[in-house]
Amino acid sequence: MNNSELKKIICKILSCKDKIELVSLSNRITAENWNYIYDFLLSYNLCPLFYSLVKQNDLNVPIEIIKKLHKSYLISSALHLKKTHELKNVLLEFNKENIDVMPLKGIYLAEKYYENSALRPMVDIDILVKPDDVKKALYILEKLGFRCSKDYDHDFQINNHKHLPAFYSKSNVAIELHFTLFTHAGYYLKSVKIDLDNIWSTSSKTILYGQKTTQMSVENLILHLCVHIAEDKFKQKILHLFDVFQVIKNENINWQLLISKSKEWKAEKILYCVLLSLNNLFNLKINDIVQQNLVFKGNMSEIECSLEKKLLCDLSSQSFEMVSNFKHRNFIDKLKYIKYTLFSDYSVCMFYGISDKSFKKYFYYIPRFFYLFKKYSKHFIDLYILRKGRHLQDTSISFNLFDEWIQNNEQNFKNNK
Amino acid sequence: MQAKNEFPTVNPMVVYREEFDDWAVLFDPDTNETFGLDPVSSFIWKKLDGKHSIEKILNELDKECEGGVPEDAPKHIEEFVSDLKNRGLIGYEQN
Amino acid sequence: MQLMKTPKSLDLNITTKCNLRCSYCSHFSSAGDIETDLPTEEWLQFFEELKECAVLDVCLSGGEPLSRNDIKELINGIVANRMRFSMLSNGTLMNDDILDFIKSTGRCNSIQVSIDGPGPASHDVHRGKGSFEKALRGLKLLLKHKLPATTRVTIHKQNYKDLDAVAELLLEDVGLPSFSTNSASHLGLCKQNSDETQLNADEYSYVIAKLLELNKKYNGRIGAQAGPLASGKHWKEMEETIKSGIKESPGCGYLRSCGGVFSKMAVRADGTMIPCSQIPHIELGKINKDSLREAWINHPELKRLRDRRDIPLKSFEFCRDCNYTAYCRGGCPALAYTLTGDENKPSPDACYRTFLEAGGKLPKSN
Repeated sequence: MNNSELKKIICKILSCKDKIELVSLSNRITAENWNYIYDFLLSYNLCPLFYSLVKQNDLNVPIEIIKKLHKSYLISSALHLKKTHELKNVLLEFNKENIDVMPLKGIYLAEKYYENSALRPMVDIDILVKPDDVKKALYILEKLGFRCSKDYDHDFQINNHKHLPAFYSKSNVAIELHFTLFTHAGYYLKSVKIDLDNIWSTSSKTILYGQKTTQMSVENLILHLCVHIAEDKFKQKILHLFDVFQVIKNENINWQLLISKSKEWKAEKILYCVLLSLNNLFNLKINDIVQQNLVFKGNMSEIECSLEKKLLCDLSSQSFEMVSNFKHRNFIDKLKYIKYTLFSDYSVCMFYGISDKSFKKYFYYIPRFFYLFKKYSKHFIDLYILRKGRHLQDTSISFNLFDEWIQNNEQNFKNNK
Repeated sequence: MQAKNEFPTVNPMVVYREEFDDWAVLFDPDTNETFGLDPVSSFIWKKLDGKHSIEKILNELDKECEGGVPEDAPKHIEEFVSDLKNRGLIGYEQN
Repeated sequence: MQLMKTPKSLDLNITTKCNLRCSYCSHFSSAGDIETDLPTEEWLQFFEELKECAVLDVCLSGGEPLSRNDIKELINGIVANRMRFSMLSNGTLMNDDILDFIKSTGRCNSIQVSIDGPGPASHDVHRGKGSFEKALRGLKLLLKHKLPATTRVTIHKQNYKDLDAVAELLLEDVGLPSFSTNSASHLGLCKQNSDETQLNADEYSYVIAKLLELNKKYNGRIGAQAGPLASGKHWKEMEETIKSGIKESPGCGYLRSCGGVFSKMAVRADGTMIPCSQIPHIELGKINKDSLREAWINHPELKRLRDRRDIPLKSFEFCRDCNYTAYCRGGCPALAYTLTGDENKPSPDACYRTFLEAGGKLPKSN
């Protein structure tokens, strides 16, 4: 059994509710595969979830692996308790100042859609406030003892990013203060558009960790999660797909509304790819309304194959990134990519923490060039001169095919619905 | 949401270091914070193994102490465990 | 003094290699200067033992720790075993990649970079041409990555007149919150280069006065655990105590300078456990073959070093008639060994009377 097949079995185990089928799936895994599977679960942040299934269903897993999974679970549980304690204090203070706040992603999903919050590990807490409330929110965070991890230019962040850099509490809990959900500062997904006003106007009040807060509508939530997966180019996003799986399983989805919103967001392909992945990996049947309304031009079997490779790939080396980002673009695209990497305000100002309005940014182009040269020259020599890494090329061609397809809005529907 | 049948258990990344005369130190390597534990807290900490409920810990502590535990012991233990929880030093086992 | 069940921290000389050859280096030509480094697996296995012993942190040194190719793997091993770490470095091998990595662990207590002068003239003379620029660049990189950077200034014959400029560079230009000092000590390579490096009594007196003055100017931002500033403070305290009529200072009159052996140990680059990096000749066993806990509690050499604190200074002929015995703690055992051949003797290096007899003097109090 190859690594992809092993990973697919794990995905099926994660989503399966039938105990007999669970045991049967786990028995397909032989003893020598478990170390690889543990590494996979660890790097994809799936250990606590898998541990829970092993424990509840008494799956046949080697003791040493169970011990390691158990350890991951306990760490996740402890860290989650610390995070929620900090979040409760933040929400309390925000409520006192009448600041609308919307917890996002992991910290929201863990409480709402996972039977045990510890099963959904996260690196930091994401919260969304309205752009006009950012300064007030920042003041409260600083009053509570949160400090930023690095120097940054506030206006530049507001104009070019979707959140401020992480702020850390004394207990090392990181909060990312979002003021929007998506920007086009990156090089990817240029056409996606999220109507922030609609996000707020269709939101509702809820209680999270005992504190009043705001939540998105279910359809906006699903789309936001889908776009977040796509922003990371679908690479190794199994846990995030599982999030969407949990939401769909636990909510009554207005599919027509979801599809129409995806068109407003220009994220139809993204939504479709996520649902396709849920079907292929977690056996979640694609709703008929979706099947009828989201039909695209292009070689869909190749797209599906690329998508699966992206989700399950092991490749994350710098050589691969270089090949993937650069080698297979046409000449004009290569020039655009060089310009973006080297000379865009976003790249230079983000990296050096300076304002895009300052003339100083022009002095940073040369150090930036040397920095990139030092970072990539070894890989350049390996790939282009020594001709190593040819095995990366097929995968990167496949990935680029998918990336070009998903970003191309002109080639959308077969039927104009 | 919390799963049913949970028992507090120590965060495996936290170091418990015994010092002198049954006193100990808890060390969180991620935050570099150190917390002193007196003999009673050390006793409780060692029982946070995912198999002891707070009530069971209290009963065992009662047997250990000459003359038993004071009346407000349950409140103090709850506060202690809550403090450990808020600092990410313990999690909850799924039983 | 009560003994902990296991050491709280360890100094790990993870490599014998260094890209520099500083004239006063305590490592090279000492017993710690061994042929080959330990392989990665040995250190990783040892870190697991440290975890079982509830060791809280380690200090990585050598040689130059960043010269190890597997430094990231070693640091990952430290992190996985629930410890924090600090590092002693010459600063010349730092780059964005390794510092990004160190930052990402969230477990770095401090990285010390050695800077000996305000410029190449007084730094490079004993550290090698070009090393000042590289060390300063390394220090600035640490600050850019918001890593906790500290600096050690080793004072010697060629830089002792530059202390004002060094303090200005480090505390004002670079903006460090503080830096620490020591003088070139009679260990390792310094023994061979003593005439070119170590301060005589006049120079030592000058440095004491200058450091006390600078420390006042910069509000306590200059530190020292040994060397002229530490000695100067201690000796001034001695004089003031005597003047006030107190017959003896608490904890003095015995060989009690060193408390290290009650809370920490060290390991040489070949995996030999030792009491301290400056006493590499006392071998307590080999990592992964001998138990750390067992060596810590029961090794006779460690017991001997711990029993040092019960040896009265008056039992030494030299100290018997000294006016300062009741206020003295005998100095560093490593220097005692290197200068007298026995760790359990007072160190002439720390002796106030010897300093005065050689023509040294303390600055007048204000």
